[in-house]
Amino acid sequence: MADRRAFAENLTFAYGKGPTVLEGISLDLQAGEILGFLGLNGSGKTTLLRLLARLLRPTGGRLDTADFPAVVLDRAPFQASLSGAENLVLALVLRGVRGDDARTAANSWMQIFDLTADERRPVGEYSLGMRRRLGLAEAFASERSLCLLDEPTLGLDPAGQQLLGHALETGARAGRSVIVATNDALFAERTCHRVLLLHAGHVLADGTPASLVASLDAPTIIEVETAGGTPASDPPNGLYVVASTENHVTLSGMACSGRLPEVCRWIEEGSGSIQTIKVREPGLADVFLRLAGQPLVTEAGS
Amino acid sequence: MTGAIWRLTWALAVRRRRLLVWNLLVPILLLVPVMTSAAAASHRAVVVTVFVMFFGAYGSCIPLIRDGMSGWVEKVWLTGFGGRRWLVERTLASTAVDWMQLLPVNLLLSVWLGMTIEAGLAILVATMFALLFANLLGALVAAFVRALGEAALGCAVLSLFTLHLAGVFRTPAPGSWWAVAEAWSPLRPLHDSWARALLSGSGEVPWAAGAIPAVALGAMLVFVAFAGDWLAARIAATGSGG
Repeated sequence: MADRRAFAENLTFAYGKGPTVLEGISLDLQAGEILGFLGLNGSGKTTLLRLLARLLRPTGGRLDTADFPAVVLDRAPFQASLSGAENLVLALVLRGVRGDDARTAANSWMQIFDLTADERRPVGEYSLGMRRRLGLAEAFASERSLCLLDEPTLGLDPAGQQLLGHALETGARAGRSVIVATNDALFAERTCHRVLLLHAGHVLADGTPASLVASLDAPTIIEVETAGGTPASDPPNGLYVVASTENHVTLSGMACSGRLPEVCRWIEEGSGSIQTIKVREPGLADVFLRLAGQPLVTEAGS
Repeated sequence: MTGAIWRLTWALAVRRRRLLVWNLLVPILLLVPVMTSAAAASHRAVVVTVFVMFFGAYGSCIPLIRDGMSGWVEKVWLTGFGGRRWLVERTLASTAVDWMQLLPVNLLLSVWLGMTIEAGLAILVATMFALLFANLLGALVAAFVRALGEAALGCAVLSLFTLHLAGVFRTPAPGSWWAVAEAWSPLRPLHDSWARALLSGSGEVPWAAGAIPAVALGAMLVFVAFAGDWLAARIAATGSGG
């Protein structure tokens, strides 16, 4: 199928005669799709990416991917004594892009990833975040139909993450497919069209972030800190008091984040003023916790 | 051919200023006192041949191992550039850079020792032969070791062995297989051209004697090119500990 960018069926892999690292992995990636591999360290995300990049050979199953996808692995090697722009041009020229076109693309992507001010500095002087941005610029500049990104948010500040999210969205609209391996549930939820939850080399679940979260059937949690006590009356319909102390009440309810005005009224009528209010919607981290029985600690620590 | 690997090798040689200065100065500081001393010509020819062999082998092998460890070789592989093409271009470019770095000491000694132009030219050609051989050997060592220490040991042992095969340390009995190996060695022309130049300062250069080592060198290059993908994959695996 022309629009298919990667396909795996019942894929298994083991390093040499060691234990099986991946088992029964199936995936189907279409053009313009952003697929996330979400899991803990050691769950097999990077190994799966390396299989898709053809750096490893599967020990079983079927695997088809586009030739020479753009790949950003956990380590992004650059020539430290060359500048960022030179490294970028070099990588493009190695991919067969003509010199002038490579320079134009390099300038453009250095600008997109906010590296223009540092484009002439040797990469040896770049910070981790800048090197990560340069690696991403390189991957996107190569204009391959498939991009494989391993922990792309690692070392990126919020601005960098925003640039990455924008580049991913723009690329997807242009038909570029991306596979992102991450343990950042928030990033996966915000960015990926579809997510594979990986645990101990197996797929726990596969679906859109919304469908995975919906399958959890978990309530929204609203935490309110008050001054002057908590209401004694019943909370608004559909909401339940989970815990209540003198100045703190925790409520839960299905998809109730839009009912904050009612909650505020209930608190104010019953006791007094609201100090703080926090709403926590269930997310992919909760889905992972439910299915794997282990918390997924994200970069953001949530 | 894009020439990307050539340009990269040249750029790196020039940008790494400290290393460049060392690579230009060390040959002069080490070879000039020895080559202008009163030591026997054959001994002085041995010193320069050993030096050139080590200069080329280490200069090829160690950066390859570092590139393997850093993931650079894997990165080149992932671009679709081709392991074979990368390894051959890199080895040739590295040989050319090594030759340029030895040019000052070669020219200095040629003038100092009053060689004829033909003798000096023979040394420059023989240096290229020896450096290409050493660089190819360094690439082969890099494909079979997994750490810098192993690379250093591998280069030292194989360099000394190939120098021994070249007849640099002894004179083999005529007709023995040692003598045959010596005739094929790409290191032999360097040793002989220096010994001849140091003994007579000029003398007729037997250019035809370089034909057999040239064939051996060509065969070695073809082998490295033929096995290039496999060798490059092994070097790339240095970083993953495989």
